[in-house]
Amino acid sequence: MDNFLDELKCNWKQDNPLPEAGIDAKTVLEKAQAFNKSSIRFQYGNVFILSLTLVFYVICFNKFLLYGTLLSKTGFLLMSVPLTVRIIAEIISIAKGQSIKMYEDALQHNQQLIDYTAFRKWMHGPVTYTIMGLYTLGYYFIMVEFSELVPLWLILVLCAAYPVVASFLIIQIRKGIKKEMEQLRWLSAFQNEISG
Amino acid sequence: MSREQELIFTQIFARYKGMVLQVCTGFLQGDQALANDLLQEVFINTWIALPNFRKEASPKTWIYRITVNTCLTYIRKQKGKRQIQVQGLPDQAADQLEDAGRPKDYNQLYHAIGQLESTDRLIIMMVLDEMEYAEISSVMGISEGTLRVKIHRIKQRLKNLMQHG
Repeated sequence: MDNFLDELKCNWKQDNPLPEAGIDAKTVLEKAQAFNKSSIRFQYGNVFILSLTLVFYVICFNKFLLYGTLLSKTGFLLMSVPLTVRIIAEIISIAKGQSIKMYEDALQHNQQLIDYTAFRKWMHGPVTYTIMGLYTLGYYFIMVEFSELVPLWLILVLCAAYPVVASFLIIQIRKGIKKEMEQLRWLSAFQNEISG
Repeated sequence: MSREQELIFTQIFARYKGMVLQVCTGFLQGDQALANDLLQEVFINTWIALPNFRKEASPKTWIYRITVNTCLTYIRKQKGKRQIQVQGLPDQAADQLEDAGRPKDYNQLYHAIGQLESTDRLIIMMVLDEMEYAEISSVMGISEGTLRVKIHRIKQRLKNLMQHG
């Protein structure tokens, strides 16, 4: 059996010269630099959008609402605090993603991917559902005071549209979780393949 | 990043591109077009990881680790295609290899390697590159004992595949 492998190695080295790459260092370097920039933009894009939404809420609600009742105060908190938590969770997720090192050994790298995917799954599962629940409660709490400021038809539209948007979001979240669970299964199978 | 890092990157690319391409080609059953794409990904990851490169570390092991992890990430992205279309690719890959002036035995070898599990494919490419077992263990993150057992199984499987197609 060893002869077989030695023969294979010998022939491989003798008759199989290293192939020529179809690309040069300068082109790869340019692509790598461009990729690095777009990757950072993509990662922080979500944080930027969520932060913008939070700023928008704070400005808008402070401009229109009087916060005359405990209900509207609670509503505002229930909408803004979970959103802040979601932003922090997204930043933690980016940091975790960036801590995955391609130059680690295959087993360790795969374990880092498992930990990261498990974190994402937890964040997109229980954390996001809790946030959505609290956010929904806050939304309807605020509607009470908001109804004194805008016409009834607008309140009805806002109240009716929310479940539609929320259902769409829940479907997307479920899809994302399913994808992450599938990834976790794959990564666990790889972990066994590498170590076994 | 600094000019110095660009220079280090250019040197690493010049020195290891052939080795990386060979691993990628073996991993992808001889498909050189896909292997070139994977080569790019490996070096993009190398560039991103470069600030963490310690000069005292072996660049070969370092590059091999990035290559192996990039190849495994590629497989993960190709969901449900753990064995990369074993039936479809060899003819096309064989044409490419014959065009490249390689003997037919290599087509058979690439084909046989392509039928191994993804991690086994990477291990055999490192063995063929005459890497020390200690280095391969360090790339894969497994003990030398486990590696020897794996290599023994790979040899048996390869032998069977090459004898019986």
